[in-house]
Amino acid sequence: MRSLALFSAVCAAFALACGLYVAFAPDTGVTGTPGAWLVVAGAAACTLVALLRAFRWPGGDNALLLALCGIGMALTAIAAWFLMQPAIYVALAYAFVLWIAEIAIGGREVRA
Amino acid sequence: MIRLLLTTALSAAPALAAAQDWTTFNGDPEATKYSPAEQFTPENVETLERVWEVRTGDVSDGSGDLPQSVWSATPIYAGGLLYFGTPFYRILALDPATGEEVWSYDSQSTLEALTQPALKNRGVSYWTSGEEGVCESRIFLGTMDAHLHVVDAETGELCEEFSDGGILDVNQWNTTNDRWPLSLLQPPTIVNDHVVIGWAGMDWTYSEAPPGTLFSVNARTGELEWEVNFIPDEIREQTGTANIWASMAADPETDMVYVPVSSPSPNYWGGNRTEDIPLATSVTAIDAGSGEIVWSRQLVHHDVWDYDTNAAPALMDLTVDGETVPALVQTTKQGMLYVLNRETGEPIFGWEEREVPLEGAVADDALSPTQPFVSAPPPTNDLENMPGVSRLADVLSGGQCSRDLDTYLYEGVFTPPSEQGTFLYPSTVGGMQWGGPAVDPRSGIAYVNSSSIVDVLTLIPREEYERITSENDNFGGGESGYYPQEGSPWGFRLNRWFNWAGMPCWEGPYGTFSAYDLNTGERLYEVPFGVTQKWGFYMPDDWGSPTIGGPALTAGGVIFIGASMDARVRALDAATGREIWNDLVAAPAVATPAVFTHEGRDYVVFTVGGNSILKPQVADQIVAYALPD
Repeated sequence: MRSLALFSAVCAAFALACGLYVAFAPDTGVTGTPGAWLVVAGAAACTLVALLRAFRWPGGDNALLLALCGIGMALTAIAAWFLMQPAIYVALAYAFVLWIAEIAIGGREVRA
Repeated sequence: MIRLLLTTALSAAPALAAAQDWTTFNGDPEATKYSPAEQFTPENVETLERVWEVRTGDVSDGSGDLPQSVWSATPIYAGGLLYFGTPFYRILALDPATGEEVWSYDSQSTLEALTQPALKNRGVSYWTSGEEGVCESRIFLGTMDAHLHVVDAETGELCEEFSDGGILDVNQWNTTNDRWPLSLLQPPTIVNDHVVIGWAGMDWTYSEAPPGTLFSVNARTGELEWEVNFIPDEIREQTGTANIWASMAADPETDMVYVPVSSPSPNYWGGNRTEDIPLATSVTAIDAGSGEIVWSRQLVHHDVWDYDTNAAPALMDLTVDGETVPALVQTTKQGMLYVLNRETGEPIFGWEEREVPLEGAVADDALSPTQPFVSAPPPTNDLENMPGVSRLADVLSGGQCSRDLDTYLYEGVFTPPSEQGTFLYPSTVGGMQWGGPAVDPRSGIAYVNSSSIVDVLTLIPREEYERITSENDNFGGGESGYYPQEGSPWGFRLNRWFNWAGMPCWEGPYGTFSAYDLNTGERLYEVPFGVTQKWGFYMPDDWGSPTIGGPALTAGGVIFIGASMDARVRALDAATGREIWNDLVAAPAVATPAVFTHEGRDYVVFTVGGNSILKPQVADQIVAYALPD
């Protein structure tokens, strides 16, 4: 198990839960908006990717794939920033940082 | 320097001895939207608390059997109760301290969108004789189907002595081109015992429509006292409107009412009304006792831009060149603020008839070669140049926005409607909207929110219009933007200037908030206001937001305002326009808030109803705020 990826998945899952809340709950300012659904979908993808990396990663050390996943996290965080949802973008920022750390450190640990 | 001037004016001037009620749509008869409440200050307003919230249940998003609701009802605070009209045409009386319902009245009015695309209500009116007893204080509610309901302010029971058992059918006076009922969406204006009633209709559909009228009825009996016609008798049947659909101002001491008169029909072509209609698109002063027109000043000649005079003028005394002048300020869609002597109608600052472009006008109309411009105060919108093209929108549209500049006409504010297509800027939704200004009567400083929106208007020959609309099932407007102007040679299409992705092709800010010293005609500041929201995403603060609904000003120097697209209510420092506090509510709060003092505590109450012009989000929320106990 890759612990940094797991922590990244936990952060992304938290963002997903917050995203679902603001998308469904009334009077959040973004209830039911396309932007909220975009962030929900992005956070769900981030969670899934990080979980896969933690437990059963099919992509090997494909740098491009890992980088694209990181970019996805960053863009989802930016989208959440434009929704003015600090809980989501802070959680996704942590997920992104942990993901980068996983690529940089976790990868080396595995190779060692 | 400006801040010093404003701070001094706001804090050092002697407080006026006025009841801290909010008795009309605009706060007081003079339509100042000024409250003497002193507890709210820029220093403490950050600590505001939501003290209660009510959902009325009177809301529709249009997805079911009912049309969409649009609720812009500024509450009335009088006699210790808070009164609301709802878009389902009910009256609610609430306890101002708790929001608990004291009584409600259901008019049982039809919930059909007879003249508007939505069920609309802007509130109720209050009248009191000053005596104790049944129906000595009354609440007036108008309906879309042209009935005025009058109930006792303490109990909500109909006042039987008023007209027919407490209900007046205003449509009985709809006798010319009665294509639709005279919808009573704006509460009547009450000056002394006169209930002055304007009405709204179905714009953009017909050339021949009910001609503009204003009625005064007795507040006790409902008997018609007088009627004013705004279109000359000889052409009443061939045109219509020039009505008063917005709120009015009144001076109870002189028994005068000041009315904003809208444009004649059809809105974007005037070939059927080339005769002079001097009262159309004007501000007009009327003796409320006799119905006699004392003066009138036309603000747009031969209006073919739908520049209805759309807000109550605010009345105040100014000090100009050392002399006290009884004045009013009329804000407008076209971005100009007209400051007039309210006794004579004469402009206080420079007034000029300026030549305007005629090129591109359709041949079967006769546009005015000149239009009035004022030298001061400066307009809220640039009247000679449109905002620049948004680079982002232009790039994302592959240059569509830039190409539009070569396609459509624009030579300033009064560029003629054309078959080629004309940019309307300021657009038909402003400039300044029906919210109008807030004015500090102590200092003569006016505060106003304004939008910067560009529309594209294209006149379409009748035959082609019929072909397009029948093929595309687009008849009758809506999102397609097609409107018939039935009875004229031209239908038209009116759209926001957006690119294919729905992004505005023009640069922001899309909304601003400004302060003007009306004694000198100077603008003291102009700042972006509100936040634009698209697909849920909030745009940068300096883009501002288009606005609907007006500000309220307190003696403590705080402006309260909803109005913006992003469903937030805000408090601003009146001295600078700086935002101090905001709170998220259920939809855009497109009603001017009410500020009042109840049992020693100051409250600000927002009605949160939404408006599809800003975004398709509606609500039925009332929210009250106060400082912590």
